[in-house]
Amino acid sequence: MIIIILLLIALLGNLCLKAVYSKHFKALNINLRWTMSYATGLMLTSTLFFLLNRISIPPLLIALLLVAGIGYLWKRTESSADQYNPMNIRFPNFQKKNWLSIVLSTFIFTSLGIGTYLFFIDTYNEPHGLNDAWSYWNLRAKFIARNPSGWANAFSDLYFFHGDYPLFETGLIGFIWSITGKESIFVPAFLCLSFYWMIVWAVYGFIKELGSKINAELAALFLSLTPFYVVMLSSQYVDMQAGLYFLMAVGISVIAINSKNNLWYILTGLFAFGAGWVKNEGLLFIIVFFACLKLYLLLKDRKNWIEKFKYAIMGAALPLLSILIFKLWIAPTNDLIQEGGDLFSKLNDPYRFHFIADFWKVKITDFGKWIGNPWWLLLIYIPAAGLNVSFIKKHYWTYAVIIGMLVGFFMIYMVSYIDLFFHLSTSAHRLFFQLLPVFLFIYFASLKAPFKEA
Amino acid sequence: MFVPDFTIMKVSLKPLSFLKIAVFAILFYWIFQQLNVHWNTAKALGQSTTFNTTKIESSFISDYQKRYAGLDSILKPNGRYMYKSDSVNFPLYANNYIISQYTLAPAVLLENKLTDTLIFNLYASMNIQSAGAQYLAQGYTVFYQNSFGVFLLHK
Repeated sequence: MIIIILLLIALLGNLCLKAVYSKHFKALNINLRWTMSYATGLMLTSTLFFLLNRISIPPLLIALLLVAGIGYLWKRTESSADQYNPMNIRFPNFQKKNWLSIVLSTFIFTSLGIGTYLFFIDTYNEPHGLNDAWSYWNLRAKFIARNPSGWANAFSDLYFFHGDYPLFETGLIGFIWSITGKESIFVPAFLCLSFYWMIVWAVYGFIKELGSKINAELAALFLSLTPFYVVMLSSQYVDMQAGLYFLMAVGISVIAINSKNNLWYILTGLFAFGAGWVKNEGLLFIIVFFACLKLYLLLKDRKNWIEKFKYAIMGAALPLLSILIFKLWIAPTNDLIQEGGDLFSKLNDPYRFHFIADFWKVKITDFGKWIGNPWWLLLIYIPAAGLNVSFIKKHYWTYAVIIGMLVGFFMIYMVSYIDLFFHLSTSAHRLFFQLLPVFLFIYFASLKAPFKEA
Repeated sequence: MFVPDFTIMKVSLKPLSFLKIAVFAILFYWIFQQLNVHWNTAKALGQSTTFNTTKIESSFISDYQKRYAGLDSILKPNGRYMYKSDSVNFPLYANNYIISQYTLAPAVLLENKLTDTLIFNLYASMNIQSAGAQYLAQGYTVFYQNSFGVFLLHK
């Protein structure tokens, strides 16, 4: 049942993107089309459920409206002159494939297969996920599923279970639980599994579209071989989801800048603000991402940046409205703000600065739980592959997004009221992990193919 | 039948310099090592886990209306439910019945000071014997129970 619902959600996203972008969407590679569709479908479903729920529309009616939407878009696509069948998937022609590509693809699927096997065992042992999943994320979904009309009152009363965390995943789980009438553990678990495959697929799709295929395969392999990725998979936390939306926002804006089609900025807005609807770190991402993008557009295209931002705001409408309604009227104040204390003295405390810097120095090399330090590997790969100068010249602003996010994370630790060691040891690795897919995309897209591709 | 195209291999390998070959050798070594870790973790976890189907089946949590319907009819006229996380002490008020949202833990939830009433929101109904043993020994009696694991103890 959950698999059918997730497929319907992906189909909704696919048909929406097809309706807006038409042939521009079809021109992208199939990997990118379906990962974008899935991310769009989930974001639309989550935000529409939240907004319609706020005007007291019951979950079952919302589900019917979404299915009707799929039906309408399907009919519209079928009747249009530009016939398009989303089920028409061409299987790869192995005879035309490069030997290295076959080897790397085998490794990727083996790694993902082992990861999926680990997911089933871990989920069997911890069916409700790790601590934060059952005590915050899925716990709040139960409020929505059990009382779709009155859950919001409980959120504002009880701040200790993080009622201020955004509702992307929680809303989706609550929505699916309430329409199926069963609080099945498979809903949060399979959502996580779908993201596990989707992020590797999206990293591959973006680099294949904007860089080279061999680099796309290496990036996908690097990510799928990250042991911490498998831990996150069965944890049912939402760090993977945040990582996907960070990647989508940066990747789509690179496509938008390359294509000069302003319509792509709609999707940029949806994904960037969508990240803020996934996790509170996404709110920092919105600020950093749009600051970098705006500066870049001001430098490159001073006349038209407002036009582009208009499209971005248009795309951001649903997640932005959801965030505003949730944060202003439902969520309690974030604990980091409420318990903030004397921020100025904390910011001026050199001890805190050194403590965080020392902790990061260790964590940044081992947050993925890899064997050894993989950054050396990535470093020696640069001269072997060579730099993709045109990408770097055009999209240097994407590096600023990563640096800005790291600075933002550092500042959050500087002003945190929680015991510094506890805060760092429970969250630093997850924050780095959220940036890993974007980093891999930017890193591998900035490099040329190590040899001429067949 | 699948036949790899070796002519492509020849063409592709041509421009590979020594550095590229060295980097790819290190890269493949790392990939094999990493895959080995994945595989060993999976093997160890698979061997140490004993599977039985009832565990997954009992993880489905029954829906709200059925679970608390009986409790509603007893408590609603005088009190109201609040939800509680397992780790935080929630302030006690008269006729304020606090129930744990999370149904895994066989946990005692709240002792209502005025009426000497305890609500247990358990994973399975049989857990009352262990979770409530202390209170049953103190003279509490089961006032209400249902098959989902919800108990109301009264003294």
